[in-house]
Amino acid sequence: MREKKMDWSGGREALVVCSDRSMSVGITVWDMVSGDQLLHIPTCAASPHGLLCLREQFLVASQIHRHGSLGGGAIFIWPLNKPQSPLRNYPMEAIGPVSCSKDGVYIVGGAPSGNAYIWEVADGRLLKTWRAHHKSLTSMVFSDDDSLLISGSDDGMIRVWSMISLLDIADCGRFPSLFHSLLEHTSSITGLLSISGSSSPVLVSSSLDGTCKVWDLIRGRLLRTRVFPTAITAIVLDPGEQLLFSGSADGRIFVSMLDTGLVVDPFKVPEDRPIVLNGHNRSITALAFSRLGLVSASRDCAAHLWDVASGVIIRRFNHPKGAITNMVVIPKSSLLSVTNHQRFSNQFRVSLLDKYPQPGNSSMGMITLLPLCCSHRVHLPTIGFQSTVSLNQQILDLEQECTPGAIQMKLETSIENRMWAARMTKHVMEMNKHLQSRLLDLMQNRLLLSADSTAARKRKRAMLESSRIQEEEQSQLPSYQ
Amino acid sequence: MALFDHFHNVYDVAFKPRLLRTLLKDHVPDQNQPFRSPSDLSIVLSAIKTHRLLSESVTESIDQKHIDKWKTAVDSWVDRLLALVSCNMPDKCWAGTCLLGLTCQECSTDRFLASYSVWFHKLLSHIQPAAESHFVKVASCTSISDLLTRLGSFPNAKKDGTSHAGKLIQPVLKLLNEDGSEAVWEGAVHLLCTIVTFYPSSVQHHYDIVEAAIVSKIMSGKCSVNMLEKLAACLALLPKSRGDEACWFLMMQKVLLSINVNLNEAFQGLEEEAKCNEAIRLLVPPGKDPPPPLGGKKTYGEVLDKAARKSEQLLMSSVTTLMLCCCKMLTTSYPVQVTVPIRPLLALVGRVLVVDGSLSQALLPFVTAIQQEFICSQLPTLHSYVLDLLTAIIKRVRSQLLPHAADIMRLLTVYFRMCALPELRIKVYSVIKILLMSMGIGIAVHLAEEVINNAFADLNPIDQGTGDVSSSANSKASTGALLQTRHRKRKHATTATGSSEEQLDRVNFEKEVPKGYTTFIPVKIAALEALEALLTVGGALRSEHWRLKVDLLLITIATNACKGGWADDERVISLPSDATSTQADFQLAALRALLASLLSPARVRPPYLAQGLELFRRGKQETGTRLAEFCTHALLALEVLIHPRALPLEDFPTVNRKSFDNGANHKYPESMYSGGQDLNTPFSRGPLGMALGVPNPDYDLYDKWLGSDDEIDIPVTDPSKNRNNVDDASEAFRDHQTEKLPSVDGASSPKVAKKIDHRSAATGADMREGGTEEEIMVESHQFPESISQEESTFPAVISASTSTKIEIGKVASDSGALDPGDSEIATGNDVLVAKGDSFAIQGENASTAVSNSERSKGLVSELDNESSMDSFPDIVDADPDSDSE
Repeated sequence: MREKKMDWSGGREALVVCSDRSMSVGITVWDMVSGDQLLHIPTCAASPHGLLCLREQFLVASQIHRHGSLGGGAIFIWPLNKPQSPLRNYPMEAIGPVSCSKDGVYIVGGAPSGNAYIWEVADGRLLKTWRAHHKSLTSMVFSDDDSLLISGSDDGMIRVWSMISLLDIADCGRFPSLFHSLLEHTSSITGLLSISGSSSPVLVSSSLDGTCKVWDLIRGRLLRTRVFPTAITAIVLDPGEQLLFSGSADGRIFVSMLDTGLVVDPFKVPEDRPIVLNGHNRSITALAFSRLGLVSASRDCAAHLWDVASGVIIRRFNHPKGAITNMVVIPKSSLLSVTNHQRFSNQFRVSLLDKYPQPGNSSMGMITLLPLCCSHRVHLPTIGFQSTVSLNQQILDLEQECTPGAIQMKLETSIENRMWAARMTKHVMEMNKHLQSRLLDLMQNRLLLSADSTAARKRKRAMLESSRIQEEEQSQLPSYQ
Repeated sequence: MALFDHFHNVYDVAFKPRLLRTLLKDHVPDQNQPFRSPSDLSIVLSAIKTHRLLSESVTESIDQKHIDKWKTAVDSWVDRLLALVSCNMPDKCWAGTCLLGLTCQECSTDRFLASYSVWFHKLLSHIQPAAESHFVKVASCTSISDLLTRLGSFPNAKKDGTSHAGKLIQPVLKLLNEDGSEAVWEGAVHLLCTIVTFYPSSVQHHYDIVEAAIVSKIMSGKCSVNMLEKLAACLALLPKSRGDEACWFLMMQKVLLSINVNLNEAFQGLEEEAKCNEAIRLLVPPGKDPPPPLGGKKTYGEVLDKAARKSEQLLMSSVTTLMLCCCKMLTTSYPVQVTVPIRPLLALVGRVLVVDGSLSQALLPFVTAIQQEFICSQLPTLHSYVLDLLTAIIKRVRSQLLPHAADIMRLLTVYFRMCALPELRIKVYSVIKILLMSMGIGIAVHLAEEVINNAFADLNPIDQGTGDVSSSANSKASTGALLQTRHRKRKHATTATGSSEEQLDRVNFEKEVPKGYTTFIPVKIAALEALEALLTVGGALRSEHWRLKVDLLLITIATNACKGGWADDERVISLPSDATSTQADFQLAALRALLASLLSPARVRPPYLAQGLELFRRGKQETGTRLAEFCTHALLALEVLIHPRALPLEDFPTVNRKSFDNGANHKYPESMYSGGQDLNTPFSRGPLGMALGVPNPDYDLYDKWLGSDDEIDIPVTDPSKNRNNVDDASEAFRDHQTEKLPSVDGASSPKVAKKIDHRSAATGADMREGGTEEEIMVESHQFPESISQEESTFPAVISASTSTKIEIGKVASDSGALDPGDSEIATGNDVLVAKGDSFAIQGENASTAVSNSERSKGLVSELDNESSMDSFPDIVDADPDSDSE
């Protein structure tokens, strides 16, 4: 345990897996580097594509078993730093695949009936339900800019939806929400990936029909098809989006160059042979990328971490409790307990997801704002030191004498100056008067004394007098202020 | 101080106290000398800031004597300032106060903490009395504000700071309430903001009074626009003093309600009754109590009465100020998560933007022409503020705005069509730009057409019609002719869209008319920016319809803009007002948009790439301007487009192994070494040689292969030398099959593709040596595949080196029969699949090596068996499939 705590400070990653076998299997979290089990969350059995990490703070899993409510489904949300108290949501029907937008504002879920749901996470409102497909939904994903939603179904159909039109409150039908229906796949869709590139979004899809297809999302055109010998059950791209890893139903992982078909290169060998990573002996259920390399999970109850460059397994994670169906890679730091968080009040909020949509007009239209990234440093940028600016401004004012304040100041200063001058004058006059009277006294004394005293006494007396006068003069000088 | 007591240099610590004393002697007034000139202070200011004369920061190595000297110098500086502050002469007092503020900011931490309390009380004494000069009051406010700001950076002084700040509230409110000059109010408001941000709890008890004071100031109508802005910011900050969610929400609700109530009055007769009722209903749902009015109950009624009596000008200024307050509340951070009444906000935006000054027929008799005239004169300002509010909403709410995005879009498209004033068009363009950037392709789908049509109308150089409409609108709108211009504008917009091809032709052939060009540069810049955003976000969007048109427009504009030479942007820098955009800005905007048009993906190669490059190259010559900076960046960005490169995927095994680069070569021996030494199973030794210097012979081999593609002889002879070993190995192989695989893999843990080749080739060879006819058959199937010769020699040779006599014979005969290159491909292909297996095995081996646990070892060997068995069908399965592809 001690060791674990030390590790938690770093930027390491953790692997989260769960199974679809039974609720008792739960979610297991491993340290990606050491392979230690960090956390086990009981009671979870998620359907394929039914586990996700929300804003690196929450785990969301749609439950495969009906639990708690009759006929309805269940989506559980665990705060990663406080996993013992999950939020249990019971939507109208069982939810299969779930997905969240890149910023974690919206969660979408697809039901076996073909219905799809969009919730706003922060206040749990069910914003929209609609019939997306005729068959069961198998996979959902947002486009790179979160403005398009792509759903894949059991019958091989892929549909692209515009989020803006889906969520339009007024819903006047001016903008159709269905963007495209892509129909080329002949069997169930198993994976959808949207590729970054804002101005021409590209989608990669995989299917049980043994193909991966590359689509132009905007035109709804098929760009490339890649055929594999077996059914493809999971796909992932490397972080540089150059290589496509396709996990197959027999446990092999095919590595191939991602060819979006956007570049027509005459010198290119048209079809290159995929490299195969062999390590699993049952079908691949999920693929993900961590900083250390590719992670693959399979129905053979194991997850492997691969060094893609050499094609070796760096680490294997055994999950004896059941086949792994879902897997996500999360930063290990998000497992930090609540007490270590500095500002819990500003944490992203998650509310109970609504079961029914609210009628449009009843709400006040509130939105719970996401916190700003920099919000814990609240006052740093807003207020700075002002006195230099203010002083310069005032100096300018004073020199130009253009503002009332400056004029007032000048005026007051000159009044003060005049008053001081008056005071000084008065004082000097007083002093003068005093001196005069002293002088007169002195002269009088001298006249009087000259008659009856000796010359020596006279002189002495006079000196005393004069020094006293000097002292008095000194003390009576007003201090200049 | 001795006459020749020189110091070392400008960085010498001894220099600082001397300079400080000189400043004190010559430039800072003292009690007995009259204050000469305020410019003396600026000399002091700059000297202190430049030389950091008050910092008292020294490195350890400094003589204590110098430190003491500096300390006493600063002591006497502070003493002098304190004496000045308590002087009756206003100018000296002012100087002292200002310099004390500077000292708060500049002095050392120890000194500050030791004496801030004394300074605070000195300064406080100047805020309170009414008779002080305004200048002194302002200086005291800013100095105290700086003192509190500095104090705010010490967390442990928080409590003390709060108690100090608490003493300030009453005097500051008094300053605000009395009829002082604007400068004093400004100082007071600034001080208030500082207190709220740094010591929120000190305001908490006075919250209502502060709110009332600020609101009454806003409503008083005595403040300038600048002052109103400051008041709005202060009001927006106020909820921070409580710091909870309810407080923020209540303030927002009050402000919105106040705006709406005021607008009801202003818009009487200009909008339907239902509209204004709806806005208020959204704010205060029926059945709920409305919040207390902004600024407290008493003042509110009073203010309303006053507002009714006073001019409508006042109404407008308070509405715009409150809108500004909304913006600030949205954009400034708040300590907790808050709930935003998004629908009332958007309803307000919609409500204002819909009003265009026209009267509904039913209400015609109730509105006088003067009323209408007044509203129309104020409408542009109002719209401008509301667009700012919309921008703030989009910025802050981000993707949570999605449910309302369609609403906003509808509103904007309608408004855009009728908006004819340049300032407003600029704002609309910028709102659209932000929308595009934040919501991506989803919104670009809907906005593209609108942006393109409007941008064409604004940018088309020869289309004087647009310019005329805009300019006339500009002059007329203030007199209430919005209605008329709207119609004209609309008409124009339809013609513009209708005859876009016609325009295109004109773009092509006619030259730009300079008249009307300079007038609307800011609008054009805004239009270019919006186009740039559209191209960035949705360049591929239905591009066949509009891309050609837009690309042509952008290259034309950029060429024309740059035709008359480059505007020097020096002039812009020297001008104080940054609001005036000039030719240089226009050129920059045009080039930016051009770059976006070149880079944004389209169906075809950018048609104007050559012209664009020419422009950027020319622009790059203008060294030192922003334009040259941008052109350099543009050329860098375009390089990928001009010379497309397929970069090698570093560290990943490429599917086509075409060349063996040196990097791989270097890694190879190391990996060989580490792996080879660990593993002592017979097989691993076999092909690699017997001696301890295991990797060397093989490395040499490898080198030779690399060195010469043709020299097949050498590798072939080499293995034959080792043949005995190989034989031994193959004997051992049968016995140690399970051990063999890990060992081989262990030898190859590094990340080199070639290495994998080699090893897996070995594996493949072993399998063949295991000896079924079928495999050889498979091989021979694959001969016809065409791969270049260099590529293929390598695996083949390896296989030769590691396999038995029979195998070599086989290969030899193959190569005899067919082209040698082709024969070798077979093994190469084999390798592909076999290699996959060995990957897995290798990984397992590595993991056992790390963990050293017996349990997992068992598991590994078990799995190894499985996978090695599996590998046979793999070869057969995979190859025909991939051939058929």
